[in-house]
Amino acid sequence: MISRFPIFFLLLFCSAVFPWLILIFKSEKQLLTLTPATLEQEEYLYERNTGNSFDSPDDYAAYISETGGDSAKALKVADSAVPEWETKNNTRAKARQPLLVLKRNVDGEPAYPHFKGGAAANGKSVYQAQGCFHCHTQQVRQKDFGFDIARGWGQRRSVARDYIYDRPVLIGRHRIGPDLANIGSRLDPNDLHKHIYRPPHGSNMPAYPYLYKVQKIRGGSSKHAIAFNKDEYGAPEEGYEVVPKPAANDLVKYLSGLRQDYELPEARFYPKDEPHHGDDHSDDSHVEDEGPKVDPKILSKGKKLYNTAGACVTCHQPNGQGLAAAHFPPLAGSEWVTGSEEVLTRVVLNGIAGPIKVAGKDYGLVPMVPTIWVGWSDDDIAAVLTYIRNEWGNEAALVTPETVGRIRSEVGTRGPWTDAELEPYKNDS
Amino acid sequence: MIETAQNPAFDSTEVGRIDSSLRTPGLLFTISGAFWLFFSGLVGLFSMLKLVAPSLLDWVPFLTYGRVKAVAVNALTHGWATNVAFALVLWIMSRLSERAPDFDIRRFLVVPAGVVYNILVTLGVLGIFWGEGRPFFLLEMPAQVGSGFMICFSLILVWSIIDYCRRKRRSAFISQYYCLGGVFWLVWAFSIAQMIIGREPFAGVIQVVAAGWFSHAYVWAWLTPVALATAYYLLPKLLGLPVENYYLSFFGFWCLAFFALWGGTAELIGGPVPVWIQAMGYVCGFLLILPTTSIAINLLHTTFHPKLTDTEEGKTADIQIRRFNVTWNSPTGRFIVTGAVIFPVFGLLCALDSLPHSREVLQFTYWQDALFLLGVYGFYSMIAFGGIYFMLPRLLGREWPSANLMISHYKYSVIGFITATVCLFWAGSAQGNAIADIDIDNLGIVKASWMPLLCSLAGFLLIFLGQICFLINVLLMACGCSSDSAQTKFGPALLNPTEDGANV
Repeated sequence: MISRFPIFFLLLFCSAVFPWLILIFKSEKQLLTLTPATLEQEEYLYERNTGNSFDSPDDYAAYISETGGDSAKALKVADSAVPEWETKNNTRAKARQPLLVLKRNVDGEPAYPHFKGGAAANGKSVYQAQGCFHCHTQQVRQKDFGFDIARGWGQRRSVARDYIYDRPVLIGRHRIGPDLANIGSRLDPNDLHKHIYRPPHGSNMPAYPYLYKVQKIRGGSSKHAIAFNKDEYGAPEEGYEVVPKPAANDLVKYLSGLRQDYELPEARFYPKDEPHHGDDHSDDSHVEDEGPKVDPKILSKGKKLYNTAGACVTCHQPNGQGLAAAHFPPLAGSEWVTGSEEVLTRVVLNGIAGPIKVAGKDYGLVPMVPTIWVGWSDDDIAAVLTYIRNEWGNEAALVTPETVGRIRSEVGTRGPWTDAELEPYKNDS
Repeated sequence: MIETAQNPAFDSTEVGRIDSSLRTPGLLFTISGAFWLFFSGLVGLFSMLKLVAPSLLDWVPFLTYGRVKAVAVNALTHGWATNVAFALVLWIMSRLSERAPDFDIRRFLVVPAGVVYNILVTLGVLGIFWGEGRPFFLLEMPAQVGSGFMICFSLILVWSIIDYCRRKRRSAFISQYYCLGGVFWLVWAFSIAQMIIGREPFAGVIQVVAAGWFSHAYVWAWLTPVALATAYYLLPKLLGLPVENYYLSFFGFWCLAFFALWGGTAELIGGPVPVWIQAMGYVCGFLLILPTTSIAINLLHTTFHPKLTDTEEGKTADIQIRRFNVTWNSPTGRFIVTGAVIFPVFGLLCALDSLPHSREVLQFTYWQDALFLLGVYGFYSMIAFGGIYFMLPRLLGREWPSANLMISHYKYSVIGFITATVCLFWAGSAQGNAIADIDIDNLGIVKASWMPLLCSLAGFLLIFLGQICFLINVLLMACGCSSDSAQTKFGPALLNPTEDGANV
């Protein structure tokens, strides 16, 4: 029997290979393109550090004192709100919230899922602390396996990428209650509050009264109180109101953010009311609704160029909405984009400065100067222009390489245009 | 530390010296295990009560369902099952090495490990109550506690290896294989899981892959080997017969070694993980029928249909019946035979449950709870109870205080877990079918499983009563109470003492 003993250890060692095999996961392509946090995160900084959306620090302090907290301390917290990437030394924060965010996953695809910080991250730890995952999953199985899609728990299956920021991942293994992968799309925050404060009659979900405060209405009712209909199940008695404590607010923020309502290249939405055959990966035949009249090859080329790092996507974002806070105007629905090709091409070739108006909204100084696309060919520029004119609901004629070449030779090298200088070209077709 | 009854055999034989050297660690693990079992029964009963009466004590944050459920499961596994498995592994390894220690180095390894381990379990349970739990099955305790577990597990592993290396015989018994393999796999599965889901978890769904892998390995590559080691060691001892088929037992071991660690990812079928991981999970999960059937055939054949020849003792059938009666009349035999009968049921259900067809409907339902209960309570705990009923009198040198408590323990446990398991299976299939019927809304799903859950409460209550009996018996034993009637000889505790009782 002793001769078998080396085999014993050999086999133990062999089975040890398995855990290491699963580490292959870590090197999947989409995990490698990590870029540092950008302005996009700073925008909701305030909201993140206060745990709710408030108009001002005073508003926040008033809310805290209303729910029994210390308003002076709250003011201090609101004032000392710092970006989380400055809390590098705090290992706890680091473990819960990644310091890096995913800017782009796959070439030409929008940067989903979004990193959720602040209130949603706090809410996630509330979710975890209450043990919600013991009764709720957060995973939608594919259409021909299980009944998740049929029950309306999602529009597509969940894939690994949806959980890339989750530390820990809360996909759950029990469905005593329904799946929550898309609960944010199904219930609005007030309904969520009602459900957590007092679950519907007949449900075996426990209530969480300790996350709420029932208080007498003094003067006007609090604007944070849960809105109940008259005589609704769970409504407080006359003259009282139910105000969520910060933990409940965070939890609802987190739950509202649970929505897999975006498409990914590996998981498209299932077509409505059509039987689904085969696995998801065969579903790549999905066609964009817009721009059937333009050659799809040009569109896909333009999309790829648009999403090149450092090009258009940097400021105007994958969804074409821009970043209002940083004075980056939107491209979607912009008359500058769908209007005259003469103007659009000039702006792209030379940049634009000074106050402009986009879609009825004033944008201050727009610091747009041509960067990496200076060296692009006429074909490339034309493809990008055609793409942005036919994406996100925009519809306009395509821009030909010839037009771009003509305008390029006309304008030569010059500084950014201003609104007034472009005026003469605006009515050219 | 513990006063023992004077027994001439106790220090004069090698076996007696081995047993007495293990008195402190054995008692430490057994008493803490019995306490955690009682605690998990109490909290588990409350958590089941919360399912049928959700508004019960709902203003107390730490008694919310999500926390008591985690506490009940963790106290049952890390508290009871692992503690008692340590006691059994230490004892079986020592017994089979057949050599009493000259210098008792083991106390320096094992007793501190046991004390620290139980402190850590306490901290972990408090952490879950406090709201610091992690969302992974069997890994709910805070990450810091998990790191501490690693040290304790490693000390036990070192001890097991030492004991294996200093064995008297060149060949090894099958029980030694199972003990050493079990401890090894535990250390390893836990360390990998702890690395991936530690304080700084890896990104993404690899966490749930590791968690699924670990929870399956915990049952199939740690608790199962320990239970099988106990059964393989004690059943032949009680029957006075060798294991039916020596080579089949090693075949079963290697099959288990191949498939036990790999089947865990079956619980992710349809989930957001690569398909090859899911496929590996259900293929290996299904192939567990190989070790299950080979081990079960071997154990049950040894018990119920042993190879015997007519000797001067009498006719074959007479010997068999007489030996089986002896086994059945000892608490050890009764518990272990029950566990050995449950084992193939559990294994086959697990194998079938790995298949995608059943996972599609039953994956997220109470069915999985029922399987877990069947494995950890019906199979593992039954055999562990048997092992303790055999081990403790030998460690302490005195008889169990109350045979009545043992009988009650057996009856309550068996009726209780059968009721609870069957009701949970019923609840699981009702729930799964309700989810499959898209005309039934969420409240309808709850309603469908309400009645079976209410019935399962009765089972959990009985289980809890059995656990109280066990705890009282163990505590009385440790305090030195010993019934005069049972203290007739240094032998096995028998429920109905007969003349054949002195065979071990």
